[in-house]
Formats: sequence, structure tokens, C-alpha cells
Amino acid sequence: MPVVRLQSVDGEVFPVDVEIARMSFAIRNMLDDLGVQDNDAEEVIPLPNVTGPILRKVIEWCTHHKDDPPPPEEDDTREKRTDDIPAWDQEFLRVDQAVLFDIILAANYLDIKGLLDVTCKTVANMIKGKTPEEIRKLFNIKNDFTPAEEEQIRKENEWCEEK
Amino acid sequence: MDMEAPRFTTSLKDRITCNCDTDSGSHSPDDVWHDTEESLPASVTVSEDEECSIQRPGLGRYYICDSQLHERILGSLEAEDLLTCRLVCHNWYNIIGGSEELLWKKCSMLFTRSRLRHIDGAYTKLDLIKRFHCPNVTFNCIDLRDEIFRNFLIIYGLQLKYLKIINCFFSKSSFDLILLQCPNLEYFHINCVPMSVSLCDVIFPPELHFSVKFPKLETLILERICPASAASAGAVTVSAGSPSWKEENLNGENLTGQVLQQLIESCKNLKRVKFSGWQGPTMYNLLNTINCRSQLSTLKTIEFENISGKVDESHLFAFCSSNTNLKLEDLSISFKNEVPRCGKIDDFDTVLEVALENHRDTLKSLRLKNVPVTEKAFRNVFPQLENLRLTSTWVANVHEILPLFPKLQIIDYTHYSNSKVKDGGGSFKCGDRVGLLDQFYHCTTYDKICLASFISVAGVMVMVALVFQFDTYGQWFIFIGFLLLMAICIADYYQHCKEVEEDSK
Repeated sequence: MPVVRLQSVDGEVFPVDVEIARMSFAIRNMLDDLGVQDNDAEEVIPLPNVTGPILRKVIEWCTHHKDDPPPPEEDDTREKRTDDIPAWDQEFLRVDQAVLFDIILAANYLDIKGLLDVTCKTVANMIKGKTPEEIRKLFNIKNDFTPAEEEQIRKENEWCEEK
Repeated sequence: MDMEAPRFTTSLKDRITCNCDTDSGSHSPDDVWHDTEESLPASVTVSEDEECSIQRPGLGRYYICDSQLHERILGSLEAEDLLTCRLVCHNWYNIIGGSEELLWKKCSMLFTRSRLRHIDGAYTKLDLIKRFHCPNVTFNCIDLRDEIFRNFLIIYGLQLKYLKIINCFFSKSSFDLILLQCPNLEYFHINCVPMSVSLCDVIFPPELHFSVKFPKLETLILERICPASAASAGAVTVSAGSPSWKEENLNGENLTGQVLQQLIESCKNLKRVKFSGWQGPTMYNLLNTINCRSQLSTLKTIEFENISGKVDESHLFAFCSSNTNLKLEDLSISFKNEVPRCGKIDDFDTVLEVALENHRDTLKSLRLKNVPVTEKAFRNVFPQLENLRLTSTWVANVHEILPLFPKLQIIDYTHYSNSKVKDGGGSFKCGDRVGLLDQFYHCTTYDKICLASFISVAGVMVMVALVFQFDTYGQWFIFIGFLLLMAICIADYYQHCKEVEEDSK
């Protein structure tokens, strides 16, 4: 099977099957744009936004999911769920938070929809049911509201009801 | 290749979407959006080291500044969590509040009488709405004749997409205002009875010829209030000057074919229609209107609930003529009271069978309540049907018709109470349970006793055969043990049979 070489920002080179690499729409477009032939196996594709450890994780995910059916088209009417993460993915994403965010950024940059979906859902699950203070602590976000602003938003929230 | 490489490296830089914010200090929303050249955070080692966990970057430290990514992450949260997230920081507040997709798809702004009492002055109320940029509004127990709301509709009517009016008072002119000022509505739900005023006269006065259009309207729900919700609307009844609900006003209204025709013609994009609490002829008129409008191919869901008054199968006739453009996915017909089977016994069956024929290939959900049909109404296969609910129908043996629904996932059924049918009702998720086990549960106690006796007799025979070879106490001991075990099993089995029998009663 033809192989492409992906180079991370810290210089690590990963040989990857073309079929697996093409799960990333960014790489797929590059390969198509450049007209890379099968015999160009020595060529290296630099990925200046992805570090070695993260790229390794991403490739691991793609390898495991290479036979998945293509994800369904974006459908607005479909209810988005967060409890449908496959067990393997849950285990795979049991990593340090920083790594998880790096994977999200990498998935977004490489345009791998399935991986992006599952990682975003994982983060959403972390947010569920928490208080604003807990969320700030979780994501290391500084509270930039004045107490008056916060009170105002609380009041606004009271006016909302679920449809 | 070497010549090409720089070209796509620059294009990659354009795609850079993250921003390493090394300064943990102030994060004004503006900070978030400017792109820096130092694009990526240094690799973080997975370590539980104390220092590292303080320093570790998160959504706050290096913003995932792409608002699309934020929306994607927040998009799967429920309304309650989204509201909490608005309180996290300015950035999140702006992203969530500014996105119709996120918050306003799941929430609407609720105005109730009791809440409005706490707000001082009309200005505050309107200011609040202005700050929200909210296209979704629910009015509950409000007097819409109030000048404030008339102004509200005039100013904000254009931006409204979702409007729900529950238990409100309105006059004819306040309703006219809604019709004229809110052309962008996608969802319109009315559930109310103004005292001693006919709902038809107010909502659909004969002289109003629907010069207004709702080109974007997808969902139309018209509900008469039922006594239960009248009771829950206690806030209205106790307040000064408020009328009390009169039950006799709750029944017996009809919308004429002409009104419905005008209404349907003004909505070109209708996907769901729900009429609740109207009389049988209204159902006939609406079905007739829908059938005549060939452009209504968008309609997927029709729900008639609590149809009151005298109902018979003729009210479904309009449904039988074939409008080939209309392909329903969801149909619900529920009568308020049980309808006795009268006239020719097969009337309802025949009408329903013919009515469903046109939608057989697309129908995913079918709900019938108090409709006196038997299993004879179902003769052909419904290839897509997933959800079947038959409440108080005359379908006595659901198992007979199950093979007609290959994709069925949920079935829920109860039988018309007067009939003496053993299989009273139940519900189950389709799958492996509808098999041997289910058949077993539905066979009679007599069968079960026969089966149990057979097993026990056979067991004893085998034991006796073994006895003749016994010569030590140990073997006798094991034999008696076996007998005891068997007796317990049989006793348990009879107990189980009794329970099953009682359940089915």
C-alpha cells in the first residue's frame, strides 16, 4: 500500500498509509493539489501545527477508525447527543486535558470530522452539570465579569426557558 | 515537489486557528481574535506534577479562538448548561448569546405575569428583550392587550421566529397585530381561551382574508385549552379582574373550510400541523384543505388530538382521496372520548386503510387513540414504520399484525376497555423479546401446567430408573436431593404461571 510521510513540527517523521492519511481532508486536499504520485513515497509532508506525540495519537485514532463509514452530512434537525461516544474512543481520550485540547486543534487543523466530533463531545461532557466557577477552574479561564455584570446575566438567564 | 512545498506551507499558515496566549492575564474578547505568528503551544507532557497542572493550558490559557470550534463544543449542551456557560467569561457569553444555533434553538424568552411584576417600568422590559437579540418568545398568563406588548410586537415583530402564546388574554386587534407584524415566524403555537369570546372569532375572523403570509412558518399548533391546563393556570384566575375559565366554552368550536383554506394558503413551508381540542368537522375541513393544496409537499406531520364532540368515520373521508404530493411521516389521531363502533362494523377499518395507503411507504410514526379500528385496518406492509401507539383501539391481538412492520422499534397498545379480550395491552421494544419468550408469556396457564407436569414426570421416571443401581447411602442422599430440587422448581414454576395469568388479566 502506498505510504506518505508526515512530519510533525518537532521534526518527527511518521510513515502512514495513504488511505489513512486521506481521512484528513486537509492532507487529502494537499495530496490532490500537489498531484502526489504513488511513487513519490520519499516526499515528506510537513505539518507545522502538530507536535509528534499528538500526531501519533491522531494517527492511532485514524488507524482504528479507517473502516468506519463516512460520517453523515451535517443535519440541523438531528438532535446532538453526547452519550454516544464509542467505548474505544472513550478509553483513547482518557488523557490529560492539555493533550485533549491539542488533539482537538490538530483534528480541526487536519480537518478530520469524526475525531473532531468525538473530542468536542468529550469536552462538552466535562462541562455538563458544572457551575460557572467549576468550569472556569476546569479550563483555567479567568473570570472577567464584574459582580454587577454577573448579576445582570443571572437575571437574564432567569428569563429563559427551554423550548 | 521541492518547488511546490513553500506554496502549501503558506496556505497552512492561513489555516492556523489557534492562538497561544502565553500571558495568563486579561482576556478581552479582542485578544481572542487577533492571530499571532507564534502559532502552537509547546508540547505538554502528560504528568501529574503539581507545577505542571497549574501551568497547564486549557481553553483559557491558549484560547481555541475559532468560534466555530467553540460552537461545536458547546453545541451538544442542553439549554440549562448553555445558560450556565454564559456566566463563565465575556468570550463565552458573546459566543453563546450571539449564536442562534446555540442558545436560541433550545431556549425561548419567557414572559409571565408573576415575573413581570418584579420588573419596574416598561422600559426595562423592552430593554431586556433588546439586549437578548432573542427571536424566540413565550407569553404565559399575560394580558397581550397591554400597551407594552403592542409596542413590543410593533418593534420586534419582524425578528420573531418562535412565538408561543399560552393562557393569554388578547383581543381581536392584538391578534391582528401578530398576523401583520410577524411575517418571519417559523413556529407558532397558540393555546388559550379568552373568556366568553369564541377563539375562532378572534383568531380567524371571517373578514380577515389572510392578506398576510407566513412564508417561513414550519410548525403551526392550535390548541384549545383543556380543563386540566385551565386548572394549572391558577395565576390567571386569582388575579384581579381576570375571568374564570368556563368549561362549557371549551368544547364545540369548529373552523370552517374557508378559514382553514386561507390559513393553509398563507403558509407555503408548513412541515407540522397540530390541532388539539377541536371538533370532528374541523379535522375534516383541514384534511380536505390539505388534500386540495398540491404545493403542500413539505408537510410531514399531522397531529389531531382530543378531537371532541360527535366523531365518526366520515370525518376521515377527506383523507382518502389521493394527493400524491403529500407524503406523511408522522400521523397522530386522538379522539377525546371513546367512540363506539356503530353503523357498518368495518367502516372505520376501511376508511383508515384507504387513508393510510398513500403514506404507507413513508410513515415512521403512527399514533391512534380512542379510534375504533381493528387489526383489519392493517393489511399491507408499512416498510418504514418505527413507532406504533394504539391507545384504546379495538385492535385485540397486536401480535397478528406485527409482521407488517419490519422496522418497528416501539409499540405501545391498550385495548378498548369494554371488550373481553385476554390480551389487554402492553408495550415492548421490538427485538429479541418478540420471539419465543413472548409467545410463551401469551400461552394459557393450562398449556403451562401441561408442560410442567410433563417435565416433572419425565424427571421422576429417570430418577426411578437410576434407583435400581443404587447401593450406598451417598447415592440415595443425592437422589433425594434431586427430588427436592425438582419439587422446588415445579412449585416456583406454578407460582410464575399464576403471576403471568394475573398480569394478563
